[in-house]
Amino acid sequence: MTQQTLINEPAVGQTKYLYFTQVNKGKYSDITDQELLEKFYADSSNEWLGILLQRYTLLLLGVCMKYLKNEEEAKDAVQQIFLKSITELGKYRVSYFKSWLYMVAKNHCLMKLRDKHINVDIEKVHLASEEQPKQEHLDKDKVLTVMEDCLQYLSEEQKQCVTLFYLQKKSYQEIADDTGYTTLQVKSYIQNGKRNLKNLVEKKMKESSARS
Amino acid sequence: MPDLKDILNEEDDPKNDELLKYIHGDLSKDEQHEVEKQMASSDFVSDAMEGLQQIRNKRSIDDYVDELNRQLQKQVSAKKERKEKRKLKDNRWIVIAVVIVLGLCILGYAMIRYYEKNSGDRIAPTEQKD
Repeated sequence: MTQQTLINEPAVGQTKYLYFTQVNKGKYSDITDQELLEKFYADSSNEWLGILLQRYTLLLLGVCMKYLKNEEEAKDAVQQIFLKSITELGKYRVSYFKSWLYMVAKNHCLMKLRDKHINVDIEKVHLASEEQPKQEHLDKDKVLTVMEDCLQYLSEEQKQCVTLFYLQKKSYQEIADDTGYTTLQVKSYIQNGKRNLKNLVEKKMKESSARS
Repeated sequence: MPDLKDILNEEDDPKNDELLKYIHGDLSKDEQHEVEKQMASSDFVSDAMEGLQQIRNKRSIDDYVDELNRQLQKQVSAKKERKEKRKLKDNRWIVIAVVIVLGLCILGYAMIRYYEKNSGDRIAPTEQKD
């Protein structure tokens, strides 16, 4: 079965999810992004990039929508990002595809806004969490002690949201209802709190291993 | 039992249909929490979800994604066709070049034969004189 058969349009009357899930649950669903990239680098066939990029269509649409705030412009931007990715990936090797694509998408949107003379507070691009390999070899008990200690260094809002989210397993909406913050604030406190906590734990762990 | 170590865990990549269900409000409380953990782990997912929430008619997201995927496939196959056409074009010039070179060789050979024959004709009578 070729890729072409996987992407046939759904017949009229089929559920909305069908076409989308057909593509994503196809025979390539077990192949990682990196493996697809390697296949592309091996035979330069753009079909591999088609399969790979399709996995991120939804996320790209969301990111473009966040910055451009216009559905038609966001769709156009996603197409341009696809084109740019296909061109750029043919020129050089990319190690962390997901982070790279996010950076391409974000930069594209910011450029679009700049062309329209809209000033944007360019947030720091935090790609580290996606680029760093997963932590596996930390001493779990030690980490727990250090984390309890580090939690105290977070701002009150971050500590409150992180605790409610991770320890009491509350949803963004429930935390917003409990605390009076907006869901966007809750999201931001959790993300930043998690990032700060991770950095603090890593720093503390490094310090303690240097001492011992 | 959740504990603080969960904060350091990296979440697996989110599945698109789960994200769509989250937006449509079709997930259970636990599933919803899992998606939110993925959002907390990844700026890409978090930004995307924030943007998708801004789409007025949430049901049209699926259509947009389908449309974009179809266009992506067109882009990918257009590039492939262009590559194949270019290959054929390149081959055509190779064939033309080979034909020209062969033609020149045959022409050269014919001309040499012609001049040899002509000069032989001119020498022959002097030999008869001697």
